[in-house]
Amino acid sequence: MKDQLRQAIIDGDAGVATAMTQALLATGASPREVLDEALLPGMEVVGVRMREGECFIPEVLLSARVMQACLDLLRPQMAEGEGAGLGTVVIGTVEGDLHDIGKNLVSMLLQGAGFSVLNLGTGVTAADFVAAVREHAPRIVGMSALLTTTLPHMGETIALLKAEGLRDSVRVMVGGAPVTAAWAEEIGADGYGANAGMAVERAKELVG
Amino acid sequence: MTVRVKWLTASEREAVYAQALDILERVGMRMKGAAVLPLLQEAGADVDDAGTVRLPAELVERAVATCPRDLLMAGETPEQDVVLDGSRTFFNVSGCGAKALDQDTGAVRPSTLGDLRDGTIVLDATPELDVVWTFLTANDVPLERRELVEYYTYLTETSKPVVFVDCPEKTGHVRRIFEIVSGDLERFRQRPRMSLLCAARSPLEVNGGLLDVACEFASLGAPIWVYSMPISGATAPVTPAGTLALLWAEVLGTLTAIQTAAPSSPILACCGPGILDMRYTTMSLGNLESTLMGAAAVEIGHHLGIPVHNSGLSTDAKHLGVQAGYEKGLKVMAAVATGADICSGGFGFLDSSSTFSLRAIPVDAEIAAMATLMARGIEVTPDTLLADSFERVGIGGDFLREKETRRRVRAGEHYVPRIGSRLPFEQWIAEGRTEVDAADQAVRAALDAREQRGPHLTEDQRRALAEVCDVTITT
Repeated sequence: MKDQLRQAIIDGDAGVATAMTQALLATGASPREVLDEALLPGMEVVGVRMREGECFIPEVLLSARVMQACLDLLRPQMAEGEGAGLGTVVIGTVEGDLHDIGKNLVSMLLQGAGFSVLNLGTGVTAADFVAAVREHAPRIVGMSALLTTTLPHMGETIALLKAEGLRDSVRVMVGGAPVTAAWAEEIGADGYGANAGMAVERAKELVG
Repeated sequence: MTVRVKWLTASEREAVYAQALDILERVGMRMKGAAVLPLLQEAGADVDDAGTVRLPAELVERAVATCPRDLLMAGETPEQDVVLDGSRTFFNVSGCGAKALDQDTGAVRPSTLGDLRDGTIVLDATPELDVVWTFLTANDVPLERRELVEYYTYLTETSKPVVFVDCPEKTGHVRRIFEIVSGDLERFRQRPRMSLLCAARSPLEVNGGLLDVACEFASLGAPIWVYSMPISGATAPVTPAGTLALLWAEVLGTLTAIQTAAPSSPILACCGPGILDMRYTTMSLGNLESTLMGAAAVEIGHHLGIPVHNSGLSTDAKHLGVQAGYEKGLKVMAAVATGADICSGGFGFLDSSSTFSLRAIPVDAEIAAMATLMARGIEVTPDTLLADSFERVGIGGDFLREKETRRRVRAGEHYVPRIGSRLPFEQWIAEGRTEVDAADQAVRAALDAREQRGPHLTEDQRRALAEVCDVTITT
């Protein structure tokens, strides 16, 4: 059944995936087992295929949605905090910027990869990011920008996290069309993704 | 004959336009916080508390009818003026980028004021380039000073019309800049040296603050480039037809707002559709779908009587290689052959118009020149048929010694490439000079010439501009 569930994730078959998830739980498999031995390996295959250009992003997103539907079935039976999978990511587009398609794509892929994602939307101020870190204790904060004039708000957010004594509690990732690896390093970010897939890979590395 | 390619039948064109009007009437466009909302409501639009504006078709069509067909963007002198009157395709640089390809190391790095300055100098020296956008970010200038320092650099290093790509924050300073470069605001209205880009955020949203600035500039006489850049499959439907409909909904919605606030404003409809590469989740502009959509968008706009821009020189290539050549060539040819009024996307830009490369400017100039000449077609007249030459040269003769051959070659009958090579193979090898070397030579010549010429504008204008922009004049 675990193999069937894994394949259903790869195929993006919600009907089979949720049925198999329920069946496994009914036979006594623990939620952790279902997650680690079927759901995540299925998404791992999808991730590899995406990296190798064999899989289109709408297909990846379908698998990610199916994975979320299965996680929703597992969560009530998971211990507190266990449902967060790889951890929580707080993500948003920085202050002064409305663009969010890239950020939303990264959010969907992060969820598919096993992260719990809190999407703060657009125009998120440094104070908003810091408040979210305080409230939700995420493992990663992700900031996105498209407008070059809004890039400095990324540095402001990192500075504010430091000033509030929160910088060491969270990893920071940045992304968006005008962002470069050099910029990410300059402002003290921990990670950068040139595209959504690379962002997810880096996020997984950061939470180790 | 001027070449004109058609991409849509009349009924296809009408169907896209009708869909765009339907989107605006049924779904609407969000313009949250824009000062023009009450005026739109008075004019018959339905405006809700979220700032979503549903526009009846008749309001949109009234707004379109007030758009002037011809549009002037003035240079420092009339010789640099750009008049979009449908007679030819002009070219502008793309932007606003934040990355530059280091010409020495080949590495991508944040762009600097030096890149911006050198780029503007080379663009100014490039005859095929007609309009300069604020194309690059000076990341090394502190943000609080950056905008005005950039404006100072553009206006002192080019005499061509300038377009603000990002919304100016210091609009009071910008009005003063208009006065300095034109003499006064009335003269600016007659000969607007600067324009503003007003870009929608797909799908169906325009920033209220940006729209306010656009309306303010429009009321001063600045042309407004109403820009839609939907990404097919991501922020627009996956089909080119659906994306076109969304694009025109966004252009028409924004245009209607501006014309409601400032009637009869000069508006340029800007069509920069992209696609989301579904393997790598990257935004692509150099693809064939964008080429088709951009060209078809030009047809629709011209049918409405509006001048149209197209991002015709875009490439997804990361370097000046094979991909850059074929993408730029195919895309610009489609745009020019359709009669786009002005094309951007290139003149230094690679990587989907996000990375600036100085040496790409002369290459883009060559591609643009060739496309422009091809779109002019073949001139067939008694004069060009050279009827009397056949008997004179005779069977088995040669035309090399004909007076017309000599005269017309000197007058430019055949295009002479400056970047591409036609040397015999062995000579090409011996010369050891590639297209990139030719481009670098053109860049150096432009930069050297600037050192001899000095900056643009009068000394008084530069001093006044430096004061407004808080710049210390060093030369």
